[in-house]
Amino acid sequence: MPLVISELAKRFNDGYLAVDGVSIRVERGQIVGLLGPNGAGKTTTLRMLMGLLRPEAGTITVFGQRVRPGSAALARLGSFVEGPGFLPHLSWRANLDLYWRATGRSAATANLTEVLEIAGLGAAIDRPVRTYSRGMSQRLAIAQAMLGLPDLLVLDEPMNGLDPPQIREMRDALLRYAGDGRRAVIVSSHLLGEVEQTCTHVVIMGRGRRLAAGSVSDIIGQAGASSSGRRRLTGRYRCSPASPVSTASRRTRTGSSSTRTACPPPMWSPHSWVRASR
Amino acid sequence: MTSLDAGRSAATHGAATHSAGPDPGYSPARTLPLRVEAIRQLRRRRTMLAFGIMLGLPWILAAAFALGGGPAGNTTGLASLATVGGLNFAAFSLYASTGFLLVVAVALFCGDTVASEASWSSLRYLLAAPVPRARLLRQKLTVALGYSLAAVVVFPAMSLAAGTALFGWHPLRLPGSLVDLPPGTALVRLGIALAYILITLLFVAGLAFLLSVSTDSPLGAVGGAVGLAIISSSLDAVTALGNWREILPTHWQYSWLSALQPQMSWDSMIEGAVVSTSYAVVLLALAFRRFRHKDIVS
Repeated sequence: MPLVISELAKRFNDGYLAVDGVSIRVERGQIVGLLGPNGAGKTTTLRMLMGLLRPEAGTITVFGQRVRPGSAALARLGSFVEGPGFLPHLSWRANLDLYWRATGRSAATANLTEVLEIAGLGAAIDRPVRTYSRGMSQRLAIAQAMLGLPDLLVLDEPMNGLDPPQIREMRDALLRYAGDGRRAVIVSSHLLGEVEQTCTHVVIMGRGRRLAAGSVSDIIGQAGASSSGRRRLTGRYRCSPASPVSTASRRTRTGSSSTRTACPPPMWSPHSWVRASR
Repeated sequence: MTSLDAGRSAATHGAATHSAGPDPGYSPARTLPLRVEAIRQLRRRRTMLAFGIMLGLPWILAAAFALGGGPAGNTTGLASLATVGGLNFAAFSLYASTGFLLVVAVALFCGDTVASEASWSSLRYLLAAPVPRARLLRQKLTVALGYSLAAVVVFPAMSLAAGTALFGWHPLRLPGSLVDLPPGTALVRLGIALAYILITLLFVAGLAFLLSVSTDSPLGAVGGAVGLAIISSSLDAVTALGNWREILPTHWQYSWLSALQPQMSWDSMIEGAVVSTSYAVVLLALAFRRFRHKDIVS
């Protein structure tokens, strides 16, 4: 199993509970979309997955190995989170080359040509980093995440900053990447349409919690269809944010009374939001 | 996933790299090689500029002395003896740079190293590569100390070359006593002075490195380390503090002048070396500890 996240929670030093008991499973061949508005806890979840943040509770396992900061399990994961991170004084090629050498693996396993092809990048990578647009920078960062063709690709808002043709290319690239059934992709987005068109499965998040999970056709199809469909969704995944019982029990479990004030505003339900986005 | 599912997927995709467990091509001990880190830092404008100053400034200083007709007056300090010869000029440039220039150079390399990665957002990709956190710090500290060493050694070496070119190769005239030391002995004494200066700069290195893992602003880390060193020097000037000044890390930074006495004494240099390395060990331990537990939000 590429990724199993169970009951993950993260509270920041200022007391803000960013992620609250989230569980996610990603299987081979799946492209799992992490869908939710800004502040839903998507990026915090992915940062914990990368070993950058220490979870307050819960576990992450990648191909059966527990993820801890810097643990070897991360070697099977390629990531792009919150924008590119390049050294501005070097060329693109030098950046990718030095990054790959920093991972300690042999140049032969980088699959650079294949990656550039998947990411839709040509011979333009010999120019210095400063000379490129944000879209180009973003695509190169995603190419960097794909170096070595990792079995699990983690992408945080990969379509942000790309123009429509680039978005189409990126979508095709992701489909190709997971298409052979051996690799898996987890991708976050705040846009329903993106997830609908790119992903096979979706996890809906809001205010740090998992609100729904399942295949894209089940979840998004139902939620948008009818009120009975919405009821089925709520019943099936036991995730109604409005339920006073579940809210109370969560607050007790994490032992905090400040959850409500620390949470970002406004009252938000996945259903109204899903409808509004369509 | 059940064991049945796991078995099926393993049978379907039998390739080694696609099974469970770690990536066989990955080894933590091979991540972020020193060579790679050195190249990443070398091509930076900051590195180039620092070495440019270290290599060019001695010539500017020497030219200023030559054109200005040498120091006036009849004092017996290192400055007034700067034009006696290359060895004297090298000793003078050490004296002129101990309090600030060399401090800035070391703070630059050690303070910039982690904070600049955070400011470029590249730190998170190195850590997720994954380069284990303690290893990342070790490799970065090694390279930063290497560059610091090079910069601090290059400056007096170039001063010796510039001074010799402009003022000739003469015995080292010692300040105060005006005794002449033969060049061979003088080179050994200057070597001892330089080695001692490097040890006193370990405090600056440790401080800058701790600030570097604590902030995402490279300028803040470098400036903070230089600033604290200056504050320490200023406190050292307050004689009312009495013996308390002896635990200030900069109190001993000019103790190498005792290597330029006719009869060399080690006492204050040993004391200074102990104080500086003690500070450095504590500050570096704090840096490693802080980074190991830190949430990376850059």
